[in-house]
Amino acid sequence: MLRLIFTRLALFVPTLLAASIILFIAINVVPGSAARSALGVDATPQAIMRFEALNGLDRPLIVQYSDWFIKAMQGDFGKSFQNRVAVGPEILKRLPVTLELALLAFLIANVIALPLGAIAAFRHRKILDVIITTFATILGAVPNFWLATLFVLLFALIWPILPAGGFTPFLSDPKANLIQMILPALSLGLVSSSLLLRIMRTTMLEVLNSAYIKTAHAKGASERVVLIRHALRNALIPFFTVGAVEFGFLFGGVVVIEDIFRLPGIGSLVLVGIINRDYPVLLGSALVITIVVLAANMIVDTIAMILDPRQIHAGER
Amino acid sequence: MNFLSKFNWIRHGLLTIGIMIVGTVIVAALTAPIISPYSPYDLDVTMMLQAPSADHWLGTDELGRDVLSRTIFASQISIQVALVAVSVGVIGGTIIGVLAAYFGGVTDLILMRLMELLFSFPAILLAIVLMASLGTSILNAMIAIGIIFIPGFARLARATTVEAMQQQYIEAARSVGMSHSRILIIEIMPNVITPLLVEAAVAFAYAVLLESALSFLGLGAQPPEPSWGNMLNTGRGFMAQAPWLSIMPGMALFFCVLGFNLLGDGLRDMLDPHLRD
Amino acid sequence: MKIEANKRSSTLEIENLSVAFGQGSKSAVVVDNISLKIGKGEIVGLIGESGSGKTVASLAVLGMLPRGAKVVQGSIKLTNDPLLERTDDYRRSIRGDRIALIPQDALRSLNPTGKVGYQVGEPLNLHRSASWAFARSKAIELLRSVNLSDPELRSEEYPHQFSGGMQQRAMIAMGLSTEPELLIADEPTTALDVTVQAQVLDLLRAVRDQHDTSILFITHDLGVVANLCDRVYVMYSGAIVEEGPVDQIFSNPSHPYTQGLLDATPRIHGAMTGLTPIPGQIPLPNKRPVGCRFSDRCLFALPQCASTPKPITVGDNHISYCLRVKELGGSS
Repeated sequence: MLRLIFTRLALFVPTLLAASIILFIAINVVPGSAARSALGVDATPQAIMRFEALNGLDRPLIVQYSDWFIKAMQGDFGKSFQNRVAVGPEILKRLPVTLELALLAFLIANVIALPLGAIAAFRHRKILDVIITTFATILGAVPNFWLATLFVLLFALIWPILPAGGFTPFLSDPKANLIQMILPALSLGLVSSSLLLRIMRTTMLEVLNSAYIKTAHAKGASERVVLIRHALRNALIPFFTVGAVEFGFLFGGVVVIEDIFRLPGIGSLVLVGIINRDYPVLLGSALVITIVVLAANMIVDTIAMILDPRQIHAGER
Repeated sequence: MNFLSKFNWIRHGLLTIGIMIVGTVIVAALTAPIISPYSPYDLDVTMMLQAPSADHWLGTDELGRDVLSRTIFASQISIQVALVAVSVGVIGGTIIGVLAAYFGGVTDLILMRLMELLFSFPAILLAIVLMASLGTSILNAMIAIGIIFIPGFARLARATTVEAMQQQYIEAARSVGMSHSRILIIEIMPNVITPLLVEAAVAFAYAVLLESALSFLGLGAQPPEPSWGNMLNTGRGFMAQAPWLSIMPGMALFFCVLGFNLLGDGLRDMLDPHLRD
Repeated sequence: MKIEANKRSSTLEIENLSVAFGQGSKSAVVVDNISLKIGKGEIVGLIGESGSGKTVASLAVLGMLPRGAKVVQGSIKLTNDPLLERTDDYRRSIRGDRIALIPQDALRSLNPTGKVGYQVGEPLNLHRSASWAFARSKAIELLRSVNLSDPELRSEEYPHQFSGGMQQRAMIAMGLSTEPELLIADEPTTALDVTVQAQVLDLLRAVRDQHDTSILFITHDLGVVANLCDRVYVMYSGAIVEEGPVDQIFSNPSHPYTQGLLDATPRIHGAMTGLTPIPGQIPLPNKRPVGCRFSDRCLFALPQCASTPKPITVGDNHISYCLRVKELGGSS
């Protein structure tokens, strides 16, 4: 099993490298855009040259990239074009906010998706299945930022029981922190649960139709024992394998949600970066989000593998 | 019309609802200048932030513009963005997928690993980074969203090309009867069309969603151009005084996305019974 | 001798059982008025092609009919216990306890994420409230009794680490864990190669000899039946067409369908003569011919075969449902 985990870790390095290249290329699709967007359209050629020299943008792209990536891996994301503040410490300061939001949202999404998806499969084509599937279909079409807006409208303005935004670090006041996190995490988690619910339902249906579930019934196991002892673990394997890929989908939402609830996380830093055309800020925050997503993908995927004895033993032989 | 008469509208209820919703949105987009009671751009300072009334069914915004008219006109942008983005995705994805399948080996491996990686990226993040370089405008939003769709269509194109090449090989080995074009039309096309339509419908829904999210963040459609996303963005500032600004465009957006999702699900159920559960 | 035991006490007694899928005009009778008895310690074969209703009949005994299927008439008694009059909970409580199922595809029938020992011992935990530690030690014993080497190690392994024959033996061990009165073996050897097949059959015979377990052996393979069973029921399109002691069925097949099956079966002992498959297919439940349902495929069919077949005694406990059995004279 350890070997399995090491293999996954080894795979992580080239993936990260490729991801960083994609980001770097994406931000440089139009050559010279960094200086022009930072200085405005009417900047003089001299000003642009000075800016590029100052920020090392006059070097070949490949040199710029390797310089950026090597430093980034040491936590140095360069300095903001805007205010010359080091980007690395800023990201580090904001990382916990985003991680907390994502983790809570992920938990909410799974807490909803796992039981409801399993129940829908268990009651296949019955009324409960129809209700749950309809719920998932409707939820799947709700934009998370609109849901967040409606939540603010409902729970902060019309019936003011929750704050409309702001952030208190968990360590300084856990209760205030969690109360502030309810609406953001719920908006993000609810919408993401729709997709996970459908995945769970499909994988559970497949499992419930399998011969070993018939064996469990033939042994005289009750529905509850069949579901918990025999079906759940087998359904979770494909659920996590497929679900891992969908994690990026959930994570994309942090940019919008942090903006709505004024959470000082990396998602809102991305926005600061794009609005100010501050390439080091944008690139650094985007890279960190990508790393988090890739790491989460890997963790979820590894859980799926650990759950599956066939894969563990395949790795040993 | 044999197809229509044979089609069981009740059995495919969800598909029917999807078609109706999508049809409504498309008709609204096409006839916006005719069916809108007001111009979406006309300011009226005497009518700022009016609640819904007989004159303005959905109220007015902070500049006195009619929210209903703007909501109707916004469907144009959504459909336009989705059309362009999905086209970019289909064309780009097909080229990459066919190349990967055709050359196979290392090319295939690298291209598809790359696609897989792009697929696991948070889509909106990639769109934002792309737009930093391209510049924030609605056209660039279309391109950025389209690029996001490339991996999905590439995977599809690769799978069908691999299948097609195997079929041609079998046919060649048999070397009887059918010409290549007939094989393509009769054997392969139906296999390609089905998943392509399903994927396109789902991508359409996602494109509408992404465009509105970008516009909501101020990175997509720029004012005064009406888009559901930037209307909701405006509404954020007036939530206490004018909550209708935050509700109506969201409703329209929700139904549009729901329509395309149902269309995709329904098509998949109808055309590919294997995937039905 | 087994046949006489049968008269004293039956482990399983099915009378006039019918099972239908669907409701009203669209319903299809898949098992049609069958009666079947298994005496204590008896091995009874239920033979038929796929689609004959033999598996559905066994599921009715287990109380595990798929959704949409239900018993429309008849009775099922397990050692005088009228199962069809019992609640679902009661029937669940005897499943895996008094009746055990040995399914066709052992690999698919074992939970891929559960250790074999745990799965083998599970019925004890479910029905005898045995602790997992006890169930595990019992499972090792059971695995040893089905001739699995290294049962201590093997019980800690997962199904995919077992060979096909070992998986099937584990399934049998699982079935034996509660010493049930009745084992239902649903084509347990089809997926196995011939030598392993023989080992599994020997094992089943040994189980009967040691525990006096009754076994309902469902198969389409006459060769297996000849080796193992005491008595045989031949099922065709939902109905039983012939029943009798195994030697009589083989020496004196008294229904054209049984004769056809025999002609289409390669003999394990003796030369392979040219196989003649029965022409045509089993009719769908709604498209059965009137009267004898084999008549549309039967070489000897006459107009009077359109009347409902009646049991005709051919020999000791040997009954045929073919109208023309006397004139056709049994063996053809």
